[in-house]
Amino acid sequence: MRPPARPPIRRVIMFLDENTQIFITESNELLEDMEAALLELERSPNDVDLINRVFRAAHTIKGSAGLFGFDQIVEFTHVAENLLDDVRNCLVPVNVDLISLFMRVKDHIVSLIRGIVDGSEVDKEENQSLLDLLNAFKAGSGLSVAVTEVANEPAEADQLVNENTVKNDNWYISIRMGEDTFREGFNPDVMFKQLSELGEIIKSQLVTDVLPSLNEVDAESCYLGWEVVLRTEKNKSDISDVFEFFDDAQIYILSPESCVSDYREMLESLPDDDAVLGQVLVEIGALTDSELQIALNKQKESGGLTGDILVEQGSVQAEVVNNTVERQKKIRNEKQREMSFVRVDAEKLDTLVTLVGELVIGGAKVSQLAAKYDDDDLTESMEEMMVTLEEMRESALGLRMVPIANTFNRFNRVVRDISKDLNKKVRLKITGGDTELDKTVIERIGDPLTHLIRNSLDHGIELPVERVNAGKLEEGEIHLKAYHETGTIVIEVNDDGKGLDADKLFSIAKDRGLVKEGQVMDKKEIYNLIFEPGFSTAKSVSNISGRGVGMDVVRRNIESLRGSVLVDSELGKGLTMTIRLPLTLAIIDGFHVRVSDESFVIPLDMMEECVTLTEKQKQEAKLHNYINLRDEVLPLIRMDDYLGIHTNNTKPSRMNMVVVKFAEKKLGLLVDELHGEAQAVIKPLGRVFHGVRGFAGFTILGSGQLALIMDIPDLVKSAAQRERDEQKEQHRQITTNQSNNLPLH
Amino acid sequence: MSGGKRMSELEQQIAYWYATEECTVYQVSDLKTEFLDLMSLHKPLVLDLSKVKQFDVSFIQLLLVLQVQAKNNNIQLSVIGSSDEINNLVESIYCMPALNGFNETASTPSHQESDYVS
Repeated sequence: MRPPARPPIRRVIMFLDENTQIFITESNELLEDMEAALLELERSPNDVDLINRVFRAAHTIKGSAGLFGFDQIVEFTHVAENLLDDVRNCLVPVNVDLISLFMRVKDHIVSLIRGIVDGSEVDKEENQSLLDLLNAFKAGSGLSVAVTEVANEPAEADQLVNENTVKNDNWYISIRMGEDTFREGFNPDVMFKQLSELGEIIKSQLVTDVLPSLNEVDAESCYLGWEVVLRTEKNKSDISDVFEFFDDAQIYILSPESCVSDYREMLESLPDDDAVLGQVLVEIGALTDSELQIALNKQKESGGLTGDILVEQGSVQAEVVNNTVERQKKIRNEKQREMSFVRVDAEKLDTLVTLVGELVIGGAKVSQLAAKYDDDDLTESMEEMMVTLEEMRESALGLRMVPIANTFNRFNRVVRDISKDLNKKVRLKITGGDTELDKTVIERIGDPLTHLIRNSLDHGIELPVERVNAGKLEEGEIHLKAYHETGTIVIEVNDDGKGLDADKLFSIAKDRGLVKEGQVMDKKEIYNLIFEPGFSTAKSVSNISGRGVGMDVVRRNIESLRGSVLVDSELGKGLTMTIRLPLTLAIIDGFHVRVSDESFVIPLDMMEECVTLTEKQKQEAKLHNYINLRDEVLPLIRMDDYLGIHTNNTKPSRMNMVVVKFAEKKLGLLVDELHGEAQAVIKPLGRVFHGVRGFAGFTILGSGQLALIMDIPDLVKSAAQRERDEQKEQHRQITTNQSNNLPLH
Repeated sequence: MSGGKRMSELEQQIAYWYATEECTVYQVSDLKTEFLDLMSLHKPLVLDLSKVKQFDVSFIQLLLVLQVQAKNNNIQLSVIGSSDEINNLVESIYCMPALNGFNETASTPSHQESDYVS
């Protein structure tokens, strides 16, 4: 009996070998670059380098896909590449429609590649629709739109024409005969005859600058030279062949300016080889071997750069040399970058970090044992080992850190597409793209950020006419910013749109029962109501946002990363969403404290100070939920009360206070004992503890004892809520008392 | 071989040089010596190339050197009897007027046998 056929998805995944994975990774990187180039091209439609970047991406993907036999990708990218080739040759102009088409092309190639990974079916309709469009553009259907656009920009159009029109078709040949030409039986007239056969000699100028006087001349030696202008359809190699036998002659053949663009094209099509300049110029036909040899000899004699010598000796245009040098530099940089990076399976990194975590726990145990045995040598060795272990931990965690730039750059496309849909003009500004975050955080922050940006686009930024009426620039701006701040990463999404209307928000919140009658809230608290489930102020639900199901999910997602999100706004001026995230989700520097009989760890980067309370302060702390700390009212949480873990043991309780800070808010945590710093490997709480608040996870201490890691953002939030509840209660009591004291009629 | 014949008494004001049939790289060293001698006379010089049957660019080069030398020494130089072949070569390669065009003032005793002036 034949075994049942396996579903295609399994089969495809099974054959994903290492090379295919490299193809997928590299293609996706190229496609990201293609998208970035397209977005830039939309702003600078005459930038040849950008067109080449898009072309190169399509060309490389096609080539690589061919190697792996991904015919569908090859066939599709081939058509796209054909159109791009016409764009490069200025046969098809760059305009908004073309950019939009290639955005779709890019998306479709992404889906074709995804098909390799998960075996998903190709969207045949989209495939055909895009092929039709590509062919239509190539045939000139898209021309009318393009011509109108170009006509609106005469200066730029002229520049384009100038840059790409053939300036002249003449070759300039500089000939200096070798001394032994006559002795060797060569006649320069043969050379001229052959040149005439290649085309038309427009001009020939005899050069006699080295001709000696009659006294000095060696009549058998040749001193002649010529500057020849030749018009021919032949290439440099054909012309060079004329001089093949004039071994000791110096021949420089300068291509027509019309060839410069040909050379540029040839450069682009060369494989990314970091060959030296001369080799590349010979390969693209801009230089002959003999010209190169002469230049290298000169270089050997008097030094200098090959490119400068080649230009000086008139073998090749400076522009061609510059283009080549730039290209080679880029390739070398890329190669260097490639060489300094190693692609590692993310799982292997995770395993390494876990193992380092275990080592940290093991180290702490051994360290405690060493302290117990009170052996100086052992203690000293342990201390040294712990220092190395800490460095190792930092390095291992560093491996997981990834710049946020890639995530940020993706939003260029989001902003472009959505603003077009909404008929708005919006510019995305990105700063701090090199800020590094834990890989897991990066992976999970994309969705919340997308939501915030969509909201800014949909509800924040006004229509151009509204902006102008409000005295703003027609084009709105969304600023995506990342930076480090006291052990956390801060990501800000700021827009210069209409901002939030606190009164309106408050009234909606009241209508929906999100705030109680008589509840007092400051503006920031009101703004943050938008994170409440079901809250939306949009008059209509669009496909972009406005269903009110997003912001609470945004907050939940961010909080699941041990982060927080806050909103601030100014009506008419704009809005800022501030996301705070932990640097890492794996191992932290913590501070070990005891509450009752239990151990806890407080993340060190959120600690401000430790204070041993005076008697007076102890009394104050027993009576109130706040304390006067250096004339500052500090909210307090008595951890034993909060956790409900009182003990009857006789351990002395000194009542220590740990001051923590999160999002500009300070809080005092009353604990029994301070044990000092401890590295904590964060282990997630099990599903059973899913609803438990106030803890970010647990860790194993050196003693083998378990310790819960305090979730400071959550504790700060609890304290704020408690304060609000107390105010409410006070308000209620006052109202009750007032009504009880009302005179009876 | 190279050379010409001594000029007649009447023609002593002008130096004539008659080229022989072969003027190639094998003869140019000798021709150079002859031209040096002619230059030392400081007389207008007429070169008669009518008998030249074989020549190459080395010969043309030497004529060019001679032309420069004559100009530098203020010696009038004329070329007569040059064949179309020589003229074409000179024109196409040197981009100069045909050698006969050098002749501005001198008479053209083209069929005369001249002496080589030493």
